[in-house]
Amino acid sequence: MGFTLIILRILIWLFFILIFLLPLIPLFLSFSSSSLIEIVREKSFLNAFLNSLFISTFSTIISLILGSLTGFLISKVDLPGRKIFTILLMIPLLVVPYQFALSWSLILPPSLTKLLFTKWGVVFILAESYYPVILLLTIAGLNSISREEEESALILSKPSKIFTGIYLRRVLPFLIAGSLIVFLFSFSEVGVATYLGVDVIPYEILVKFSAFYDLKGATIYAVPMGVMGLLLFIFEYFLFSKSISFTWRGGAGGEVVYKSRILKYTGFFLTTTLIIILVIMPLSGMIMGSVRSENIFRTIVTGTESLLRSLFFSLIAAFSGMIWGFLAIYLCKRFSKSIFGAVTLLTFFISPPVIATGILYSWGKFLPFLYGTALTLIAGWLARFSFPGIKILESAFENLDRASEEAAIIAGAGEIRRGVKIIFPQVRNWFYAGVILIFVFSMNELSASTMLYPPGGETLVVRLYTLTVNNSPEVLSVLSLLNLTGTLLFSTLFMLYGVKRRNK
Amino acid sequence: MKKYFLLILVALITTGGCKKHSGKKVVVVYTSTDQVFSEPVLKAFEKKTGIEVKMVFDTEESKSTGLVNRLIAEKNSPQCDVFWSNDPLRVEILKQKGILQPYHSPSAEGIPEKFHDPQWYWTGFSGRIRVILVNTSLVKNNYPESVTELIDRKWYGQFSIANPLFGTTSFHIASLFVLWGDTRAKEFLEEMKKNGLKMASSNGEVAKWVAMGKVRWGFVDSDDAFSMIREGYSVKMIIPDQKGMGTLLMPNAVAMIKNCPHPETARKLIDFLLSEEAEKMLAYETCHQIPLHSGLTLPQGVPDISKIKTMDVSYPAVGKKMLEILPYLKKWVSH
Repeated sequence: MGFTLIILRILIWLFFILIFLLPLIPLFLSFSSSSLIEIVREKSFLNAFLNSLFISTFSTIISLILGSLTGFLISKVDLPGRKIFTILLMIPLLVVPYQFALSWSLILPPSLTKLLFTKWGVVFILAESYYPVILLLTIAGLNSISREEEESALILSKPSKIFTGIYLRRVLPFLIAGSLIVFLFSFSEVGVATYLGVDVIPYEILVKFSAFYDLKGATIYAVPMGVMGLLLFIFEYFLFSKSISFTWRGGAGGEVVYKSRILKYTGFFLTTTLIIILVIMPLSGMIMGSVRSENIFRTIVTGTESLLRSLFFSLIAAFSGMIWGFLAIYLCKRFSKSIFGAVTLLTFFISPPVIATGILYSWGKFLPFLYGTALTLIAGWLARFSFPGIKILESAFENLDRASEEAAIIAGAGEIRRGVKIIFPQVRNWFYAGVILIFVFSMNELSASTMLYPPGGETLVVRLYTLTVNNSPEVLSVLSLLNLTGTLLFSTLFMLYGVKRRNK
Repeated sequence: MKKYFLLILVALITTGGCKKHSGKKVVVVYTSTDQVFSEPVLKAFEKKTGIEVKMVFDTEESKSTGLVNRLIAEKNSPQCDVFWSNDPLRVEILKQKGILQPYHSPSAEGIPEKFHDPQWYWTGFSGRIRVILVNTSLVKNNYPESVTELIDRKWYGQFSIANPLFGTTSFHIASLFVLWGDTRAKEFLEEMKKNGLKMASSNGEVAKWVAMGKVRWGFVDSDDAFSMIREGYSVKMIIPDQKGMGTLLMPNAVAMIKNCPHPETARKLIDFLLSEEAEKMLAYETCHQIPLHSGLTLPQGVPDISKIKTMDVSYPAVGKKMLEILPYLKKWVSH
């Protein structure tokens, strides 16, 4: 084994220990089973747990309906302006859910505002925020069906048979994976429930920290959440993950598209209505709020520094997470990979404030020279969001064309050269997809960021949140729009870059 | 395309990402006072002294971050120089955990003795008081004037307080426990619940409920009351118990962190925050905090400290009591 390879492997393990393993140590040390039994018997815990369960279940169901319906319409129906519809429908993924709650509270009449400040209000906001995850995966699932298979089925079977026999069968694993992600995101989301006054488990964890200064209690409150997430993912892994394979067809061009007039007009009407309700209305709330703001330019100027910081830190998080993921998948043996997979999965599930506290304690103790810098914050994001990005990359590795690599081995190319020249170009698109995913999630992360941001280094979402109290909603609208614009601009740049590389 | 990405990255690094300090003096402050009020004061210090202030904010109302937890976690490698707390209880907890170091600022002269720690581990400045906010469209006369009216049957189901597990309401309730003793205070809380208490999640929510007419009156902090008055609602602020035990005054508190990285600039910032100039700024901001130095020119409606009868309680005793009664309060809230 070459010297460079040994160094690379050491670096991969070092990164893994610092980012994923170290924050978990104080949490394991503070855990005790007797306290767990005591806490799960508490009425406040049960109440919050049931609320969280209710909210995540219903927001997942609604996201599933919205995401799969719009995904099917966009991929399979000859809608006019499908690309624009796709972009518009994806926008909610770039908005912090808390901003949606704020915006709806500005535009709804008082009678409906009451409804917003209930469990159903939280469900609506979270479904609105997370349905694009399902939409994306529905499109990916439909993309994975080969044109030949679909055309043969169309000649031989009825449409209903094609729907259940081909579409549903092929898309189901994607839908289940998407539902699990939505469920877990809804379960760990704290900003919306807190703003709308609904008691949920992540809020109770914050209470443990803020009112009782109780790390142990907070960790134990997070245990049922982690266990549930882990069980759900194990279920998904054994039943469906093997049937997920991503293919990149370059949009809807290569698919079979239905040209029925009824489907076209109904689909157009439905999609337009959903875009108006889910995207245009809350965005217009933000825009109206911004226009009303007396200090719009001053707010933009003061917010821009935070925005630039958010962009910079998120880019570092996204690239370092995916580079690590690529190297770990390519260079490490099966044993290491399964440890990496299990631990990144765990840090993805555990409640953000709990992970943030783990970083505060462990980095403060073992890495005082790095503690208090922006790296602490970036570590928090990486611990939270590396898993979904790497999962995408893993799937791409499973579909590699091994013939060219074997040819390179025969020709005497080294492992690093093969990785850079042969493997990376094949997974590049998924690498950038993962970068976009981690970038967008990091840009909008709030719970861990509020605890980890370096002094004088607040991100825009943190600024937005700490300015909420005793401030005018107009100022908050301006900052929300600023964050959305920054995220949208950079995500679009990445996508354009990806498309350009693919066309080459 | 790669070139453009590189250019953008370089632009980000130079403009916002990695600010170089080039030998500039720096002070790091963590504050739980709302950013909208604390940031202008800290910026004024920056402008006046040329010392760069690196800030970390918290939001008391949404109980989000728990800066105290962060300071506890950072005990062995302190990052923060100055902690500006929106009440003296948090600094008391930090003092007990050995996270603070004493500093007797020359600007503290004139601040009454009960508003600072005896060994100067923390010093109070500009405070808020607990007040009653009344909806004047619903209550025309005979306004409530005392905390004891929370158990008066004539107000059944028509009043509100915030969740006593958090913020200044927990401070207020703990003060009553100290003044009255546990038995009377617990009886009072049970009676209050039987009297149809409508519990809000925060003082801000209580103020909104009163302003919108959901309840006739409620206990809030003076800054919440000023906010509703400024927004033009038909409400009136009443300072309670002026003929009896007095109302609770909750000063801000500033403290220096033990082994902090920038002790010299930390002392300068503390001197500034305790000065009459900073107190006046906080009085003229929309929160209208009450200066602890008496005799300053104040905006209309903001009372001078010498004209308010305040509760005679020791803050360390209240802090200790608060931690002691939290399990009881948690049960009281959830049953």
